[in-house]
Amino acid sequence: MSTSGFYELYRRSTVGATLVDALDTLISDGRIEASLAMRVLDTFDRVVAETLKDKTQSKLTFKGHLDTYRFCDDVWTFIIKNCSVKLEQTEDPQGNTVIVDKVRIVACNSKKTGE
Amino acid sequence: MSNLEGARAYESIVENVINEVREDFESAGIDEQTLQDLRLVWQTKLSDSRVAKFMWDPEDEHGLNAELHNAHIAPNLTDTPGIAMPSMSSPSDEKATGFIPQHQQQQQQGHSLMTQTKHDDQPKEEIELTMEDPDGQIAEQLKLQAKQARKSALLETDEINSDLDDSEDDYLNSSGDEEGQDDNIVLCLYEKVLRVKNKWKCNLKDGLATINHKDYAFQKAQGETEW
Repeated sequence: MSTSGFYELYRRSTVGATLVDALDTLISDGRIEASLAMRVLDTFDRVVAETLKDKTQSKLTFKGHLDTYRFCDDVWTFIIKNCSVKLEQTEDPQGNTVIVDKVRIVACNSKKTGE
Repeated sequence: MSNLEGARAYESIVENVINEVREDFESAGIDEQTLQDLRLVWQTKLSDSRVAKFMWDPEDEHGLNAELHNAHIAPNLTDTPGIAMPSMSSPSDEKATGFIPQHQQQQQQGHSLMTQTKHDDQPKEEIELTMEDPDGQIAEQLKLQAKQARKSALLETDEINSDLDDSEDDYLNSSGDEEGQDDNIVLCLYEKVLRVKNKWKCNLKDGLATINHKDYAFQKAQGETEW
């Protein structure tokens, strides 16, 4: 958890990794200081948490073979094999299923967010 | 599986982050242009990752786009009667050969490509366009590029974190086994994890998922798995 009280976990997502990348470019070009980049990432942590909480409606369901589970530092990690994933969202209410060989789920405790 | 909501969530995240850090930029004495450049670079990188179709995406695809243009132009040039301009038409021919070796085929191909460009206006057709390239090489290349881009981005994440931020989430970044093979990953919060014998049930929420190179956002998720 960062000082702002939001998880840094979403920095691993595509939207996070591309932001880190973009900030890195600006730093190495000497256009911003690293400390400013860290503030941007702190803001990112909060904005992602709020966006997911307030602006999403989709529901995801998945089934599969649980290959690995781990609970460490209040973080659950699951590796699921032969996993079927279904997403229901408003413009696609009946949903659609895809099957993937392997999916990794990293989940932080919902009880701590925003505290 | 449509991922409209994921795309909308990403767009809103970019918008809000940029707006909310404006003050930080100002107080650090950094001009608005730099902030706008940050947005631009971020958006471009997101588009390049091809995990969703964004509203800021250019109408055309970069690499493929050049090829498409050549395919369009080439038939016109060669069709012009009475004018023999091999020097003009050959460069575009050469480029188009990746697609089509013969002139006749070139025209046919030109047609099918044009219909594909029409499809391209509709957001969700985009990936199909790459699938339809004849020998599949371009699609393969693009996928590879996107993959490499993502990997290097993640590596740099580690770098930043380890240098400047002795973050507690290092275990997340270096989650050990099979790192780098995380093509499909879900990042979220858990509400409840239940186990009865070898059956595991979990209730998750507020997640971002990358599944088969597409990104999704979800409010809730429920999983049933057997160990």
